[in-house]
This record gives sequence, structure tokens and C-alpha cells, in this order.
Amino acid sequence: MYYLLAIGTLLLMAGLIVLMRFKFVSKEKLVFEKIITFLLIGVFIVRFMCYKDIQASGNEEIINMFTDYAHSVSELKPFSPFIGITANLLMWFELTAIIVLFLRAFFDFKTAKNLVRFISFPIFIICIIALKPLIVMMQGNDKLSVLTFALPLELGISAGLSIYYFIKDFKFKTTIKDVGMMILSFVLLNLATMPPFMPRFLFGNAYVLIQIIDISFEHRVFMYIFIVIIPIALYAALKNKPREIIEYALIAISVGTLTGFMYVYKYDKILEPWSWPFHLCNTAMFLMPICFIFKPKRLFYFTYFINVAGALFAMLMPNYNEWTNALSPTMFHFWYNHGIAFFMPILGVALGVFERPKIKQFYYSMAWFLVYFVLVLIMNVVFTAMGHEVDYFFINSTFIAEKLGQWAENIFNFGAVNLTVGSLQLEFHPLYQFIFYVVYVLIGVAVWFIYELGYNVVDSHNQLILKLKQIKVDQLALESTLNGRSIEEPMIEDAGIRYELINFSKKYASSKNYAVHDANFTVVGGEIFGFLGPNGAGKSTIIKSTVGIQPISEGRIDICGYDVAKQPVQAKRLIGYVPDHYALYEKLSGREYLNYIADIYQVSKEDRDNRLAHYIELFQLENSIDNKIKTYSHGMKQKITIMAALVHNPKVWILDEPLTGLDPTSIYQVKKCMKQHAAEGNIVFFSSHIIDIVEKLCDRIAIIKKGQIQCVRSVQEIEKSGTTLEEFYLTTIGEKPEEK
Amino acid sequence: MKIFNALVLMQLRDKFDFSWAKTLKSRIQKIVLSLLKFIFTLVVLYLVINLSCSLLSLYSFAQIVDVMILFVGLILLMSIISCTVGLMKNLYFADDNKVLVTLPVTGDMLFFSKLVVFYIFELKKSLDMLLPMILAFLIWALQNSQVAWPVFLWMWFPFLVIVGLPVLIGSLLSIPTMYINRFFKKFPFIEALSICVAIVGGIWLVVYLIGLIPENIDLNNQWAYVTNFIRDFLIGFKTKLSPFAYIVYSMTGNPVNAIPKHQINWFTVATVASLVAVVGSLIGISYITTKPLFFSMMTKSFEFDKNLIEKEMQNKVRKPFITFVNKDFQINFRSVEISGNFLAVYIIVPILILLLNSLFAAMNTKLSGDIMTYAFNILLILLPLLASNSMIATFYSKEGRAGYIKKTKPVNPLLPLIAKLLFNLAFSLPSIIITMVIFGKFSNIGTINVIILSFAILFIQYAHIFFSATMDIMNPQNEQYATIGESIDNPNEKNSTLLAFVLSFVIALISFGLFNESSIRTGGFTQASIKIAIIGLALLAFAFGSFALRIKAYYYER
Repeated sequence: MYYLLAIGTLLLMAGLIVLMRFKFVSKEKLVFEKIITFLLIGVFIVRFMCYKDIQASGNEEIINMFTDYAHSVSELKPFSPFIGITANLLMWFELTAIIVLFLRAFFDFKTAKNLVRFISFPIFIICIIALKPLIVMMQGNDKLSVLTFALPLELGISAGLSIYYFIKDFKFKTTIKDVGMMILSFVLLNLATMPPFMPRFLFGNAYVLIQIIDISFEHRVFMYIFIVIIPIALYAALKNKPREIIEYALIAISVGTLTGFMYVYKYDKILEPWSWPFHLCNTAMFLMPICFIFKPKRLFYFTYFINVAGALFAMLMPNYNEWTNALSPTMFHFWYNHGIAFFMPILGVALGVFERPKIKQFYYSMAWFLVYFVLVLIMNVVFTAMGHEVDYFFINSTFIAEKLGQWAENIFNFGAVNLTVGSLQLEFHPLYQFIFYVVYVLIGVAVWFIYELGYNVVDSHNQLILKLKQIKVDQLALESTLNGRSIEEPMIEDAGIRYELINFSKKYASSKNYAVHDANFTVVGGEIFGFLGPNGAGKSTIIKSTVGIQPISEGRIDICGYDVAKQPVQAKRLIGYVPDHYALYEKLSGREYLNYIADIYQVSKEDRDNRLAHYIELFQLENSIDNKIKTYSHGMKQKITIMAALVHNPKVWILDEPLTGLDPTSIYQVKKCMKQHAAEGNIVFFSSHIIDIVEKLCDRIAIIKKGQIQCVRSVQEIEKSGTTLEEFYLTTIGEKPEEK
Repeated sequence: MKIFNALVLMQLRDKFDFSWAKTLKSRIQKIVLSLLKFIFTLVVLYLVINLSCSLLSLYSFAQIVDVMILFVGLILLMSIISCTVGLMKNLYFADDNKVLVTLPVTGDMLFFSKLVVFYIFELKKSLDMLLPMILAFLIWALQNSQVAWPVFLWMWFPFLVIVGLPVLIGSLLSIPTMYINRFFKKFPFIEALSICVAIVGGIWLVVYLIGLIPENIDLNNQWAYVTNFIRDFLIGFKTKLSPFAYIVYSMTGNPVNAIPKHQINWFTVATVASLVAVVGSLIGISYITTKPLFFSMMTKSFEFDKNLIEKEMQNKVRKPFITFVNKDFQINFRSVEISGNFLAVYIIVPILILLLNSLFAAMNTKLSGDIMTYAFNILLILLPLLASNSMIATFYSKEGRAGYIKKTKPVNPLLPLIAKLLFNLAFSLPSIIITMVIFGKFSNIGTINVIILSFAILFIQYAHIFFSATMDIMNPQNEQYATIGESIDNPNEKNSTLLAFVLSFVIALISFGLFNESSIRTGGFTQASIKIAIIGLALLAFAFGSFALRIKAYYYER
């Protein structure tokens, strides 16, 4: 009879497909992808809920069918082990197949299509063929029941709907890679839908000494799997996938695990509200599919802040005992439930389906928690008063208190309140329950901080990855530009002694505006180049980006053909830098410091002896060069800084406000040094506010204002135009000079 | 008063990180986090007191307030030492003195603003330990009818006064300390000699104390003797250092022959009044003695206070990496506060383990006791070692602007940054080897296991060094050091210390679990040791990888 029903339904579906295809093409999608799909969901729910599942109801008859005991009692074997095992596996795979079929109506990517075409359809056909063993496996016999009607109907509709999708996606091409992805997805989805009794059915009972409690080795293995490995593996597999695939996976996993969870909740429980799954982590099994399908934000953040912590505690202190077998349904029911409650909300945010919560959402989650707490509190006392042992969230018994010690039990028993409502004696433990609530709210707050910490770690990691990718890209670009030449060679061949800014821009991380925008100029060997501008105009920013203190945001800076960003070491070898504030190691002597710098630039003994002797004499430091720098005056420290910048005879000497704090003799000596250095064919680039010195010393100048280079002119040119540099500067930056 | 407030606020902003006060979210975060931290400390301390009083009956012949006098006394003594050193730097050698002296405020205002800032700093510090400890003691005392509940309303005013005591005493002691400091700076040889004498003296004292440990300790039979000894010691402390007793009575009430044993009465009011009078006098004395010196030092230039060196040194050529190492070793050896601290820790750890194991060796322990002592050894080795690394979380920032300038040099940035850590990497190695040899001598776990565990400790120590260094790189405080020469509230230092505690406890806990599990299998201990070493190695690989990658990324010029 059930074969007839299944085949009849399938034929009816086939007829409907033909009819729609040829007569009502425009309505085809509506009929199959909406009406039939929702009809199938209804039939599935009836089939799944409205029969007493023999395996989940604790009937050992089927579960032990292939154990040693069952083999010795032949009447307990309705059919061969092969058929039994196949039927059980089919029950499992059919669950995956039907979830995949439901989701096909809402998702349209490659793997979703292939799963229905090549996996679901054959599974439904095999299930129709194996209907009898399936029914026997489910209810223990094949007598007429809701199941004998609903299952054939479900399989007939499912197979028909699969045919519809098969025809619809007929022209869709599939590669070997797609097949691999499809098989992998099916295997992974099966892990989610696995009925909790399946491990015991397939492998029997585990070795009795394997105890998944008390942080034993085996318990740790379970924790690693559900707290670390599965969430990380899922995150790694999905993080770069399109949003559609991520949502598909999360819905499939949450619905799949919900079906596994519901094996113990059948129609008879509906009328027994004291048996409803209202434990905190149980609620997550329902909230997860609801959240991923309908996206109710406030509800989601309730599970994000409350369920996750609860599930973690539960996994650390499971509420089964040492007699619970490691392969028993209880075990897998527990770990699937708490695993899902723990990592699915985290994945929801990590994969971007839900945004990172703001403080407002945290408040909402706490409000939801209050509602939940009050609800379970009332359910606990009312149902307990009615004679049922109900302890949702463990707030109606000493279960948690016992784990914490006598003091907690004392609090539980302190000030118990009895209320009589009608015929019911309601017993509350206000102090314990209030403290329980407050502690859990505090845990919620702690979870908030842990999440914040986690976001910081993730952001920092992502930034790092981005930066490393950028470095790799730049390196490849450099190699391509060098075209087989060594990295030690300049990017631009035969550039000579040259300092060049090409469309250089700089933006500080904390600012929206550019500190310097699109700056361009070139300085060549033999020039003394002055850099003028008001305070905060961007002079130091350009200098600091050139010497490597600040990273470059956009554009390029070249030193003698070397790109400062891509060939920093090579470029820096050619630069000598005098900062605006001296920065020295005060515990070293002047000579030690200069030798330290000379070592970094790998200056030979002969060169450093000559140069240091020359500069020590020039700056009159003979008597103090071997004293500690901390004993030096400001001017002496500035002199040491200048000597350190010149010890390797740089091609480009960059000075940022170098004359501040120097006595007139020293200023004269520094100026002499600058002229001498330029005369030897090198570049001297310096910023200063002392326009007279710039005027007398420089060949060319650049003026910068609010991050924009206003002009680059030769001093001679300015003088020829009949104005002084000072007047020219004031006019350029928009400060009208006073009338003479 | 407005100007004074502004002056105090200005200095507070300079010394503390107020970035948390910017947004409501960060304010709530900070408050809740601080509250959680406070409650956590309070709970832990209460549990410790409860454990030692109720379970171990450690103070069964003494009163809890007497125990409180001992601990409050010790904390105040330590505060006096830290305030003395801190105030010496803050009053006489602080970089911000040069700015403060130019402000249009009276000298008195400047002086008192400095003291108030330091008082606020002490008050903040007291929230970490002193206040939770006092509250934990008082809660236990209340439960055991030794104090009455009004004590929780009364104690706050005396508490606020008590916190000021170390600041004022420190300000007075800072004068001789400053002169000693200057003397040592003038004669570094004498400074080094004094440190050596102190270290040798310390070692001699510990070895002497170890010699006093009886060969066989039977705590079960000797418990009455132990508790009597503790009672005598507590009474001795209370009598000999009676000011500390009065300080505590000012909060708990004075002892009476009734229940509760300490009650707030007119005598307590008089005690508090005396305390206020003492504080007032100290302010006066401090004003008279310290203020003039503060001004003379504030305006003193430290340039050219070095005699001319006659002998000219020669230039030396070194490889770049060697020159970085040489520079950092030279600076560290010339900075007693760095090298002294580290070397002290590296010397103390083996002595601590020697002391601990001498005690354990005298006890007759079972297998589970042995396992506990192994885990405890690991905890006690890791705690001081890792905690001392907190200074590494300031290493790069402490260079101030010189740290930035290093970026302008043509070298792989990893070289100077690693060179800076070599001092600790190198000196912690012999310390760990000696410590583990001592541990091996006392335990009977076999040479192989001692070697494996030595590697585990070494890996964890190195991992923490790299973690601390990474913290400094990712959140540099160079500007703070460049402008005011120090950073009182360095977040990296705090995070590094926190990580040190967490790592030490977690590793000790894991070790305990693994040793415990291993005790049921032959060869299980070696397996457990290898697992701990693998955890250490994984930590080190992660820490170094993260350190190197972040340097590569954040020292890149784009």
C-alpha cells in the first residue's frame, strides 16, 4: 500500500510537471518552488513529529538489532544486517536530502543546484525502493500508522520536486571540481543532520572507561572538537565565500542539527509543556534557524550574549554522569546541542551575517534574558507545583549549587518563599534566584568584553594580512620593474643623485584629511634646496616619509632612483637625516654613539677615523666626545646629531630645522658643512623658518601650505623679479607683506 | 583653587591614560571592567583568608584583626618604599619640572599639586590590593563576630587618610634617597659594589634560612606549634610596630572585651583624630623640608656636571647586528634600574626554588602531594620570570624619539628590535638552567624529564618576552617617554604583567592536570613533560611569528 502511495504521488508530481511545463510555464516557479515546497515542509513535519520514533523513544529493540545480544535472539532480526544498516543510513541521508531540497527553493548557486540534482534525487528514489525497511526501522513494524501515509507521500513529493529541479537545471554544466564540492558539502551537511542514536547504532557501545567528564583526556578531545576545531574549520571554509553560500551553510547546519535534536521531542510532548525544551541551550536549537532564516536582530543578540556563555559552561561541566556511554544518543544530543549553541552565534557575526553588536544591542539581549528568566522561573514553580520535576536553567534545584559547595546550597535554602495560588503551592528561592540572575548578567558583561577583545584581535590580524599582501604585491611590482636586475640596483637606472617626490600624499590613520596631498618636486645633486612653510603645513611629514619614520599613503618618493617604500634599505643608505628634535642614547658617549651609527652604515675604519676627527675638530668637541651624551648641552647634542648624519657621507642630506639651539659659531660651521656637501655633488635638503639663511644658502626653494606644494622656484629667479624671498614667501602663503 | 585643580588635572592627564573617558561606551567598559577586577580580587582574597582561617586554622590562636595589621603593615611599608623612589624621581628629576616652573603659579601650589597627583596615584593603586584586602578581612571578621557592621560605613574616612601616609613619609624619605642616588651616580663603582654586597647578603640570608629548615617537617603533629608560633609573631609585630596596629584600629574600631571584639568608640575617634594630626604634621614637615629642595632641584641644570675625560677613546668597527647588541648591553649595564631588576629576578628565581624545595623535601608527601609540588614549582619559576618581562613591554617606547630615528637606518628592522631582547634572552637562560638543576636535585622525576621541562620553561619565557615586545611595538608609547621621560600608566606594562600571571597559572594548571593524568601510566610523566614542552614551543613559535610578521608589516614604508 505505501509503495503504491509513494509511486502514485511521484507520478502525480510528474504529471504536474508536464502540465505546468507545457500549459502554465509562468506559474511553474510559484507552484513548485513555493506551494509544493511549503506543502512538502508540512508533510515532513507531520511525518517527523507525528509518529513515535522507536529509536529515539529508548526502545532498545532496534538499536541493539545488530549487537551480539540481538544476534543470539533471532526473532529480534526482522531483516539482514545489510538491509538494516542501509535503511538506517538512508534515514539519515534522506534528512540531509530533504533539507537541501527545501533550501533549493531559496538559493540558486552551483552547489545548491547540484546537491538536489545528483544527491537528493537518487536518495529519494532509493528510499522509495527501501520503504518497507525504512518504516520498520522507524516504528518497529509496518503496521498502518501516520508514518505509513506520511513517509511515502513525503518521498513521492520530494522525488517529484527533485525531477522539477533536474529539468530546470538541465542545461547547467558541472565540472569535476563542482562534483567534488558537491560531495564534500553533502558529507559535511550529513555531519549536521546525524541522528544522535546513529553512532551507537553503527558502532555499538563505547569502551566503558571512556568518560566524557571532569576535563579528562576524552572530555578534552570533545571540547577541542566542538569549541575549537569545528568552529574554526567552518569559519575557514566559509570566510571568503559569497554571502549566499554562507547563509545557505548556516541555515542548513542549524536546521539539520535541529532535526537531530528533535528526535526526542515527538507529538506526544506538545501537550506536555513541562517537557518542552526550555533549557537555555535547548532554546538555541530553535533560535538559530529562526535567526538565520528571518534575521531578527534583537533575538540573535540574545543568543550571542547569553547562549554562548551558557553552552560553554555546559560543555565544561556536562550534566550527564560517568555512566553515560561515550557513543550513546544522550552524549551526541548533548554535544550537538551545546556545540551549536556555542559556535553558531559566533559564526553568525564572524562571517558577517550579523553585524558586530553595539552597546544598544547588548541592552536588548539583557532585556530578552530578563524575559527568558522570568518565564522559566514561572514555568519551573508552576509545573513543579503541578507535580512535574521541572528545572529549566537549573534555577529551581540545587544542581548548580551542589557543584559550588555548601555555601551555595545555604543560599538556595535561605529565605524560601511559598505562595498559594489556587490549589498550587508555588515555591521560590528569591535570594538564590536573584543572585543567579545577577551573576549571569555579569557573565553577559564579561562576554561582551571577551567579544570586544576578540574583535580587536581579529581586526589586528586582518590588518596584518592586508599589509603583508600589500608588501607581496609591491615586491612583485618591484621585481617586474627591475626586470631581472638585482634588488640592490635602483628602480630607475642612471637616475644619478636625485631626490624626487612623485604624486606623494600622506594621510594619518586618525584623520580624514590629507596632511600632504599630491606633492611633486625634484632636487638634483649639487643643490641646496630650502623647504619653507608655516607650522603644520606638512614639511616634517614629507621629511619623515622620506627617511622612513612615517609610511607613505599614496605616490612615490625616490632617492637616487631607489623607491623609498619598496627599496627602503637601499634608499636609506644614501640618506643622512638630522631630525627637528635630537634623539640620542644618553647613556652612550658621543664617540660610542657615532661609532654605533657608523657601524649601521658600515663605514670603514679609515673613513670613520678621518671623518670623525674632522667633525670633532670642526664642532670643537675634542674635550667632550668621550663623555656621556646626557652631560651635553642642547647645542652639543645637536652637533652630535649632525655628525651622525654625515658620518657615512650621504648623497642626500636632509635636515629638519637644523639650526635651532646652535650658537653663532656652530651655525656658521653647519652652513659651511652644507655648502661643502653640496659642492661635492650631493643634495642638501633642509627645512627652516629662518628665511634669511635660506635666502643666502639655497639654490632653490619649495613652499608648502596646508599640505599642498605652492611653488618650486630658484632663489635667483625670485630675486630677479624684484622681491625678497621673505616677501615672496608671505605672498605665496597668503599673508600680505607690510608696505615698505 | 581653580588654578590648583587645573594644575593637578594637567599633571594627571600627562601621567595617566584617559583615552577610556572619550566615549560613553569606553567609559562604561572601563568602569565595569574595573569593578569586575575589584570584585575578583576581593573574592580571591576572601577565599584565601577563608582557606587559611577556616580550613587550615592557620591563625586559630590569633585574632583576624592582628593578621590584618600584619598585611596592612607590610603593604604600607612597601608603599612607603615605592613612594620614596617615585617621589624622588617625580619631585626632583621629572622632565615636566622644566615646564611647570614656568607656569604663573606659586611655588607652594606646584609642590602640593605634585603631592596630590601622587596621592591620587596611590589611591588608584590601593584599589588594586589594599582596599580589597581590607574589605576581605573585614567581611571575614564580620562573619566571625570580630567586628560590627557599622565598620563598613566608618572605615572610608580613615582609609583615605591612611593612603596619604606613604606619600607624605615618602616625600620626607625622598630627601636622603635623592642624596644617596646622586652619590651613587657620581661614584658608579660604589653603586655596583653596594648592589653586589646586597645580592651576596641576600643569598647568604636565604641559604642561612634554608639551613634552619628542619630535616623532617611533620605538619600534622607540629600544627599546634606552628599556629602558636604564628600567634606569637603576630603579637610581636603588633606590639613592636604599634603604629600599624593603630592605623588598622582606626578602621576596625578598637579592641574591647566583648562581642564583637572590635568596636568603634570614642577611643577610635581619638585614634582617627591622632591619625589626622599626624598627617597634618607630616604635611607641615614635608612643606618645610622638602619644598625648598624641590625648588632648588627643579631649577638645577644637569648639563656639564661631569668632569672632563682626559683619555681619548678609539673608534671601533663592528657588524651592524653586533653593534645593536653592544649598544643595548652597554645601555642596560649602565642603567641599574634595568639590569639590576632583571639580574635580581634571574638570581632570585633559583634561590626561591631552592627554598621551596628545601621545605618540600622536609615534608613527607604522597604521590598527589608530589604532583602538586611539581606544578607549584613550575608556577613559582614562571611567575617572577614572566612578571619581570613586563619591563620589556616598555623597551622600545623607552627609547623615546631615538626609537623613531632607528626607523631611518638602512637595516632590516628586525635586527635592532631583536638585539634589544638579547639581554633578557641571554641572561634568563642560565637562570632557568640553574633553577631546573635545583628542581631536578630535589625531585625524583629523572634527568630526561628535568631537561624536557627546562626547555618548556625556556620556551614559555621566550614566548612571553616576544609577546611583551610585540605589545610595545603595536601600541608604542614613545611620545610619552620623549616628553615626560616616564610613563606611570603604561598599558603595555600592565597587559604584559597580566599575561604573565595568566600564562603562569594556566601552564601550572595544565601541568598539574597532565602530571596527575600521567601518574596512572608508566612513562606517563615523560609524555606529560613533552606535552608541556610542545605547548611552550607552540607558544614561542606563535609569539615569534607574530613578532616578526608585525615588524615586517608595520615597519614597511607604505
